[in-house]
Amino acid sequence: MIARMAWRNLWRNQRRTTLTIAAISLGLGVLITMVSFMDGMMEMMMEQIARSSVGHIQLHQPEYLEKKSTNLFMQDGEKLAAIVADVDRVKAISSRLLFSGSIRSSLSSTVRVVQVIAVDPEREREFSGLVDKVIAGGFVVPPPESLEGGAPLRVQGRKGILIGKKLAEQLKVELGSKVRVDCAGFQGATTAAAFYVTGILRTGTDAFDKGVAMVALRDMQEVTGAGDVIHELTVMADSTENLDVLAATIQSKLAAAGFAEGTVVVQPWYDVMPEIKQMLDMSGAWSGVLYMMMMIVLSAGILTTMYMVVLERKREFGVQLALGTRSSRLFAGVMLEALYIAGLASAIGIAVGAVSVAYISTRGIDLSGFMEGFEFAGAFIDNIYRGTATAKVFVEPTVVVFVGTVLCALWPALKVARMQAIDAIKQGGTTN
Amino acid sequence: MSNVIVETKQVTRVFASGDVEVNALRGVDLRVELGEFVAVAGPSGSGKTTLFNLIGGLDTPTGGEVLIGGAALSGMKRKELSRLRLDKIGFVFQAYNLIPVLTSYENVEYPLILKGIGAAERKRKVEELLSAVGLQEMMHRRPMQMSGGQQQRVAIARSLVCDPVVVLADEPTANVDSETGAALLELMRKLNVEKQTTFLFSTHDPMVMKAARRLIRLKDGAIESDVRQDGEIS
Repeated sequence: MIARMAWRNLWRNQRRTTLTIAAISLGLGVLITMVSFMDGMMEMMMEQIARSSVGHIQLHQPEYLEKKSTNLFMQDGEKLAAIVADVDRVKAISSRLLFSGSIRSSLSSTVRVVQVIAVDPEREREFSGLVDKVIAGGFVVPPPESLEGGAPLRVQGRKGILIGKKLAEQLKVELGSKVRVDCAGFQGATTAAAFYVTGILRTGTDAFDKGVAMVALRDMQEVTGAGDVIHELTVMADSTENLDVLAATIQSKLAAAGFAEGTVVVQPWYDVMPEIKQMLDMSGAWSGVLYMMMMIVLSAGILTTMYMVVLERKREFGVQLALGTRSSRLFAGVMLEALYIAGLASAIGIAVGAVSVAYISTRGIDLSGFMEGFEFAGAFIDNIYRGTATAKVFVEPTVVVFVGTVLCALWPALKVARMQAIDAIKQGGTTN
Repeated sequence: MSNVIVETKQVTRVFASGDVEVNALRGVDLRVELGEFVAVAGPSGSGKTTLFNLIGGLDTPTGGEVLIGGAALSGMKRKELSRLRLDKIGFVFQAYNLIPVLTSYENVEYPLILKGIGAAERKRKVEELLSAVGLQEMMHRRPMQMSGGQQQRVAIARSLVCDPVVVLADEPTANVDSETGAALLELMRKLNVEKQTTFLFSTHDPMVMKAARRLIRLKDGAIESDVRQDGEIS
């Protein structure tokens, strides 16, 4: 009977109960959507960061990251790549040489400062999301079909270069055009070489589209005369889980293969770029703040509703006590009403959230009308954000709202449990 | 074996309001025996409701002692008082005070559920009592769908369902017309005779005073008179 009474009591004031449930449901739906959006955004950023220059794990000469000197490279790049590629959980790798330099063409007087990234085109193609941003030609080394698409045949067999659309416009070059790249080489030498534009890409960020030029690793090793050396080897793992374990595994494999201690350091991305890790952690903390703010707003509504219940039914509670009802039973009745509200609101909130999450996780939210994509931590971050539809997105907010709703009813329920029958009957209003 | 159901010994009740003390009851001695049909009358402020609250275990006396069925209420814990009210006392309130979300059947059944009586026994007792108060056709109506008199009949049935030793009826005819009031009194009198249930009324309704077999008049918190009479319902 206690459950029946609680259920019927809930609907004595239909409008108020409906509004309360609607408010909590809507709040939960919004919370689910926001968590989905934020998780999705973080996932996308991590994925795009991983798929760009950062990867999940990076290998460098131990002092390279601190000093960024061209001369701090790792020897036996091919052997290194082969060993790492063979480690369990390693999905893809990319070997790179990194230089600061300038680029110019005979078609323009413009000279532009660029970061020259020398990559193994085949490995980078598997590794990097940048390949999808190529709008003309091929990815550093043009595939035959892109040549048929308009690139002059003269680039065949020559050193290719992939540049951003804006840089191409500034230099007034197109596919097949010749450019000259000057950069600081090894041991203080300056390296200059001619490259032919084999690909043009557009990422939407100026940092990439104006400031990066990609060439083939083999070409750069040949031009600089450095041989089989690399500055950086990035690793894409099968997942972001236990990266420190994977890094340790790679380090031990290298040691076993004869790479002397102090020649190569293997680090997860969050050790390489702790500021990104901090930012992601901060985003997690913001989720907590979001939960709290939402709960403050919701709890005000729930408390008001439940407190009104107590005030309106004071006399009724007094009569029930006079009839011999135990306080614990009255407490349970009020808590049951809160449970019903929480249950109904959670069910509706999940449904509202599911519709919203289904939309943002499949179609995404296109912010291109408001902002361009941006470069973050060496990665191009898209401006279409998609939510994630994991169980966590639904479970966490629902648990928070459900438990919060029930907790909000504790105070009014305790107030009822502490009522004295005579005071409640005297002070209470009518029961009808 | 003593037939005394309700006994008060030199009961006093003082209410403090700031610096002012109000003596609501000034040493009331009262003995009510099994099967009595007693009206406690008096003007407003005479102490009727205070006395009923003390007898019902809803309030604690400042001095003296209240005994129900020989058991002293003083020193009983909240839980024990709840149980005592459930087992031994039936309440009929002036404003009916039925639980609005329950049907008349459920309202009468409610105390039996609190007592943990089984479903079959509950059904038998509730139907018997609703039939006795003439509401067998209205079992499934909620209070809002019933007249004041009908609601008070349900309240009477509820007060009797646990076979209490005494029913405390606080101005039971105050909110109904005289015809309905007479019918309610007739009903309670009948139940008093048939079930030997003790009824104790608080009233200033002349009809109730006349119907009682014993009339106690309170004045300024003390018993002014206590007379036995025929008890006629007009």
